[in-house]
Formats: sequence, structure tokens, C-alpha cells
Amino acid sequence: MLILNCPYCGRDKDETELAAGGEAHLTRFGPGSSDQDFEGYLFGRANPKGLHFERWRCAAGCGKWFHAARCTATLEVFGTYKAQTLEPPRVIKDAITAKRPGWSWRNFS
Amino acid sequence: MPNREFQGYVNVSQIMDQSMFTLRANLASTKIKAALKLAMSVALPKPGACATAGACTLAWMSPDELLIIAPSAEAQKLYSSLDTALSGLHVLLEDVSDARAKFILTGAHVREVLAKLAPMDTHPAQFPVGSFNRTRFAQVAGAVFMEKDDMISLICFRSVQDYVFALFSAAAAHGSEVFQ
Ligand SMILES: [Zn+2]
Repeated sequence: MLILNCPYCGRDKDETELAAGGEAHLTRFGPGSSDQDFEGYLFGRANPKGLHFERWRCAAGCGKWFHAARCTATLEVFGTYKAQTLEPPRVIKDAITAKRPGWSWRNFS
Repeated sequence: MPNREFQGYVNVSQIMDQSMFTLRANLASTKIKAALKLAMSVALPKPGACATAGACTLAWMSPDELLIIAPSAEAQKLYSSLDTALSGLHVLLEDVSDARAKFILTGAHVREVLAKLAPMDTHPAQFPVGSFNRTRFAQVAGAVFMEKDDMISLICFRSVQDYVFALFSAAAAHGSEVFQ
């Protein structure tokens, strides 16, 4: 069972109280963008075995969307953080580096 | 509908004469805090907690939502004073009394009965008296107030009140104790 701490209400929520929102930190390409960018925004998703950044909603809880950095293979959670950011905060990156030195994900490292 | 009650190793009763208001507002705003203090003479509850002002309870639902519970007899007056105190501010105050149901569990083993149905840590160290948590009861959303060590209040949507009453009655039935 996956347990994530919601950074808005501070509660530990188990998987059955959360709604999965897929990959985090997507850049939206809307009207006026190229077909390739739009297709990538709609359908292009990373599917790593290992470190991943995801969106989750505290559904049976405070209702807020937040981000989580975790490992899809071991279910280890490196941290959760609020969604009002364009990239993972320093403290999350440091927590990942401590466990997975030299990690990279999309444009982050 | 009269109050209904189930007597098991924990008692389950539905409380009918309660009014509830939802307040959506930026709870970090000093103006909102001041308005609530003026209307209810109570400080905002911290995340994961509730605050009591006389017979009324304020529960922290999310960073921008409060649930206010009051006895129906006092509700109209409270609504008016909140409405006045909050006028001109960017808020939504709504009477949701008819959308919600409230139950009370009483007995020495209330934490155990709750633990059977909600995926939360009900240990006193994690969920002390005064705590508030939104969670689910089996298949439906709900909220929990730890009122006293032997008393828990539950909130759910009225549309699922029969389900929740049956659920807790079964979990509280004699013979279903986890620890003898
Ligand atoms: Zn939450």
C-alpha cells in the first residue's frame, strides 16, 4: 500500500484515499502550438521503472492536488510537495540525490 | 425523522438538530481571520483540528474551506452574524445543513470501531482529542472529530446516511470486538 503525506492538510493518506493524476510537471501546449508539441502534451508520458514525478489528489481528504517524487519499482517515496511550482523544490531533489546519486528525469537532475 | 440509535459495544446515534455551513475563503488572510473572530469569537482551527465556540464547532477542511457546525436553534443567528462580518470579502458562505448527516459514536472502544472502517491511524498519539480528519468510511467520503476519548462525531453526505448508519452499527455490534 502506497502512503503519501499530503503537503496541504499534512495527513498521511493511503492509496485508497488518493486519486492518481499521472505525470507531473507537464508543459501545456495549447492553441497556436505545433502539432508535434500538442501531441506530446496530450499523449507523451514518461513511464520509468524507477524515479518518477507524479500528481496526486487528496481525494478523501482536503481535496488538493499535490506532487510526489517516488520510485515506481520499490514504491519508495522521496517526498511530496505543493503543486504551485514548476520544478521539484531543492529539499526534494536533495532527498533523491541522497538515495539515487546522479539521478535525472526529463529536464531535472 | 427522529434521532436513531444503535446499541452495541459502542453506541451509534444520528444527530438531527444540527446545522452546517461551508465557508470557502482564504484562511491565511488576516481579514478573514478577523471577521471570524468578530462573528464567533474563536480563533481559526489549525490544519487537522477543530475549534469549539460554545455549542458551535469550526473544522479545518482544507486551506480554503471551513465547516461550521451549530445547533439548529442557533443557526439562523450565527449565519446572519457571519454573513455580516464577512460582507465585502471574497468568500462563499453556504448553508449545507440539508446535504449532510451527523452521527456520534460513544463508548470506550470508539477508536477501534473507527479503525475498522477508515484508513487512518486512530491511535491517541496520532489522533488526539480535538483532532479532525477527512477520510472515507468504507466506500464513502466522511469526516471525523475526536471529541473526547470515548466520543467521536462523524459527518457524511445525507444521501449515504443509511449506508453509514448500517456500516457503523455492524462495526459496533456486540460480538465484533477486536480486542476482548
Ligand atoms: Zn490533503
